[in-house]
Amino acid sequence: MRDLAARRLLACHVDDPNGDSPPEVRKALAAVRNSPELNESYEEQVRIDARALAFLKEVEVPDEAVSRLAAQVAAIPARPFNPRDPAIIAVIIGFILLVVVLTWNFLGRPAGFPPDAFEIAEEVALMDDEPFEVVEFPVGDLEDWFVLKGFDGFRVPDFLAGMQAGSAAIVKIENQPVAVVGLRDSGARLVVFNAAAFDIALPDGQWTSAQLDPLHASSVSVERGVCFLIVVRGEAADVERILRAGRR
Amino acid sequence: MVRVHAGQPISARDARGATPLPESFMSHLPKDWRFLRAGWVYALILTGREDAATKMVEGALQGIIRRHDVVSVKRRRRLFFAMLFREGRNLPCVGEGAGEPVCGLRFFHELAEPGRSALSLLYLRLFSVDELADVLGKSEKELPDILAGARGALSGKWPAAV
Repeated sequence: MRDLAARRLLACHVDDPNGDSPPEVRKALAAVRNSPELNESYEEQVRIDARALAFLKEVEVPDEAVSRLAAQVAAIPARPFNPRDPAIIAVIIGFILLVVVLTWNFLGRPAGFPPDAFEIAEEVALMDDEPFEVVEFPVGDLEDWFVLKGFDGFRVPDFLAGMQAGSAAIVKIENQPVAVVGLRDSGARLVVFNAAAFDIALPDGQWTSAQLDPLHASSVSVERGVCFLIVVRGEAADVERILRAGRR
Repeated sequence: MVRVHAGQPISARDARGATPLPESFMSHLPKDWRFLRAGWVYALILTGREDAATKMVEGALQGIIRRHDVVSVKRRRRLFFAMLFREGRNLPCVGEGAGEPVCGLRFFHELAEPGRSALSLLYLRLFSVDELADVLGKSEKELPDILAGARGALSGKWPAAV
């Protein structure tokens, strides 16, 4: 540190015999000690400061003034809502983050696809062939087959009734019977179950598609209390293609 | 009349880590407002009279209370002293025969601004150098010369025997 810079720094410093000096002040003091002229000037400053502080030390604030000020401070009303208050700012930022995270999470889900239907579709997509039996009927003629196997109320939308089934099974998901039909031509699986048992509610006849994972897609619909799921290995467009083929 | 009592430091808080005030000196005022005592001493230097000092501090305090945007104690204190400085820098100097004497503080009172405020606030140890410059509306570079000039003027005012 240059001597003159050190002296300028020390001009803004008041020596305190009871306190520790900051490192830069200690450096400046060391630098000033090297110059007799600057050292003498600093010693004079220390003398002036000591004398001035002695004057200031002797000042006593009158009790009356302190009481009046204390009364005014005590009368300060509770702080009103202030958006610039750091605590308020922290709460606002936290709330915005929460909204962003929830929105991100919500947008990450397939819109309108019931979460329970999503889970059933995932389970059916990963199901192996073991529970399936070979059937050689159109899907619309499987009602009796399922009744004989112990599943009542099997039916399919009219436009799917003509599709050829290759296999069929009754599985239990969350202790509820679910009918699963393997469609021979498309390799997709049609799932039929009671919508109320899984609390799935959708506008009647409306199909909603979603990508289950990178390998599987599904489409769901509810008609008169029965839920239909089509699960296919592929993308959502492949499910749409099956639906369109059935309607033709 | 300025009362005199021995051995009490001035400031409620030392920005450079100097010895803090004893508890008895800081009674009555809540912790966040203890700087009002130092504010009163500073106002006394500015006005030269006790009653005027109390009035000036009360006025600045009311001004601070109205400022709902000032939340932190540090900023409140800086603004408070800046208000005192702005109000007191142009006040006429109270002569020795004009009523209450201010004892040793008379030498401070008679200094010219901004040296008077710079030196007084430096001795009150409430602010770091950059905060002090901010309160006075000066740059940090100007402060050493202002303080050196004020020290010279102060030492020239008091008699050798004081």
